[in-house]
Amino acid sequence: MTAASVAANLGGVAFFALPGLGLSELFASLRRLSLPRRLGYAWLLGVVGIGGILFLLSHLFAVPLRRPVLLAVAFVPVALGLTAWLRRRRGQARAAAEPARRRNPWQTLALLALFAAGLGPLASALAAPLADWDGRMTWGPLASYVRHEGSVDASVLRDSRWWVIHPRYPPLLPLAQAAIQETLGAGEDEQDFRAFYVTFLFALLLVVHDGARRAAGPVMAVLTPLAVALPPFWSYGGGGATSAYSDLPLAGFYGAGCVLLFAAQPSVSAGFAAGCLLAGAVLTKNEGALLAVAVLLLAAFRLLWSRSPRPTGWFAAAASPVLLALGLLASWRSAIPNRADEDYWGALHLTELLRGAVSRLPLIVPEILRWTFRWSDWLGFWILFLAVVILGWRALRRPLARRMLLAGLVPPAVAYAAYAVSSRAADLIGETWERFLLQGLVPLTVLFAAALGHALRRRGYS
Amino acid sequence: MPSRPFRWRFWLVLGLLALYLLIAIPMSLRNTYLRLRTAVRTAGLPAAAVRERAFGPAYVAAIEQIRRTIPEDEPYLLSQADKPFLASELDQPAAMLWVRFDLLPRRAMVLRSPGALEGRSPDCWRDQVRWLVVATFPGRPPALLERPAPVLPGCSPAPWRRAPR
Repeated sequence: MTAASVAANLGGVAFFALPGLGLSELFASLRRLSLPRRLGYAWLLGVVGIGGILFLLSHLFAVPLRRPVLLAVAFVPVALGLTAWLRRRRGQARAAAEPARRRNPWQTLALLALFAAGLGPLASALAAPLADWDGRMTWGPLASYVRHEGSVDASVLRDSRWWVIHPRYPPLLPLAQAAIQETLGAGEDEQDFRAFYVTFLFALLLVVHDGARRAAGPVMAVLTPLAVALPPFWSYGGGGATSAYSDLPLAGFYGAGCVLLFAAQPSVSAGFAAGCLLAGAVLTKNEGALLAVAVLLLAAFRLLWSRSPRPTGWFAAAASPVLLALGLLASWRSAIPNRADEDYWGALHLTELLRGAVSRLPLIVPEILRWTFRWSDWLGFWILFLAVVILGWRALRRPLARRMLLAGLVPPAVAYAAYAVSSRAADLIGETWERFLLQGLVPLTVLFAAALGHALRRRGYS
Repeated sequence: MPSRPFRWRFWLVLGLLALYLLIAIPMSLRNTYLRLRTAVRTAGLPAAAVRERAFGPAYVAAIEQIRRTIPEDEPYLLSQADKPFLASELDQPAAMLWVRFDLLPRRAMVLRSPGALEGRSPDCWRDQVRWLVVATFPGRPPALLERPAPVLPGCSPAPWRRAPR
């Protein structure tokens, strides 16, 4: 680890963070937030915004993914956001200055905890070469091929003679990784993308902070990310921040989309921001499409049962980016022959699914419990989670908590369906269950915050 | 006034939360400390030296040698010493995946068992691949072998053979 490699890694983070801040400035629902609450969304929007545009340009218009194009694509949202910010500042200068707010000591403690929790994986990622299974098997090779050919439609993916594992996996994260490497001119062994993956952990915690704040107020917004930040799995597990898996980013996109859809005031701006984040989920992992569609269905129910004038624009704004992402992904995949991916859709007949779900119950449930409560990965986090949700169950009277519970259960439900039909269920549970828990983390922890807030409410702790 | 059951619940939740934080915060800080200590040990080391520390000098030297020999645009055949042929695409031997990652962006083809190739037309490209990389075990140095790579009758030269070197 040299100063140059650290600087390059931070440059890789800035490549998405600055455009993300610019993009967040364009959304009324986000620019109203304080900087810590906004940063997580900004990061995720930066990745999906830049990555999505590059994907579109490369796939539909065959634009080569080389440095001038990459820099131009990153520059536009920065310039737009800066212009909007300057105009807003000029308007605000005339208004009376807001009184300075006193910093809550809990907030300082949470910031310290987040910093401490994030520093470990950051140091670990910068000090050692990539050594995780999926990063080396699936995502890293895809990024390398995309960079080498300057295209998401790399010939190596489209010709089944080449040995590529999972060539049809959604390419957003490998594309982002390739963009960083190409922009910084990284050499063969220079892994300037490692901090990029760690940043998703910070973004996730900031989204948890915002979701908890919306659900249960400022004190729970401190306690919840503090509790969430501590299990080692997020940081060091397969799928955690030091790896190059796509689960942590998927958890961020999905969770942030859920918070903006279910906890924010319905508006076109909030809907579109949520839709963009859910589009990020679609372009990040196979199950992202299922998660995004499930959340849109939940949002549709919210729309139907809404007593206020129906915000159909909100829903259309949320659904449009998801549909666009689904179309783009389908078009990209259509030219790529499958090599080895298990055909879950082919196996997913309702009768087979139900039979598997029941007959494999004795296999699946004990394994799931074993991995959920694995001490070395979770330090008892899920025990605390269950206890708090059970003891604070009255929080479920609120529609927000119920929606978050349902949204949080979608990834485990997808997992269970996969285990019910997979030909190698026992192995699959060990390989994937904890990552499905990670994917549902944000909605589950917003529910946790609501339950915690309810349980501790009458003593003045929220 | 809060009712009695609610008070019981309050203290239980608070106690569980405090217990969890008391256990998890020190463990998390310890993890961070251990990672920082490792990072400090690699401070100032270039990427190659860090790789040697992680994967061993023999492995890294072998990879470097192969990288120098096979140009980025030329493919190679990949095999594993104890398992020369892959039965199916679901076969994912760790040693092969490890080596393939370190040789990126070079494209890899794998050897298929003769049975798996039965009934298929001969692969004009496979026969024109000059290099065979044999992975042994994750972390152990792979071997590089040069093989005859004729253009079989009825085949046209593969793209990498036409490309300027």
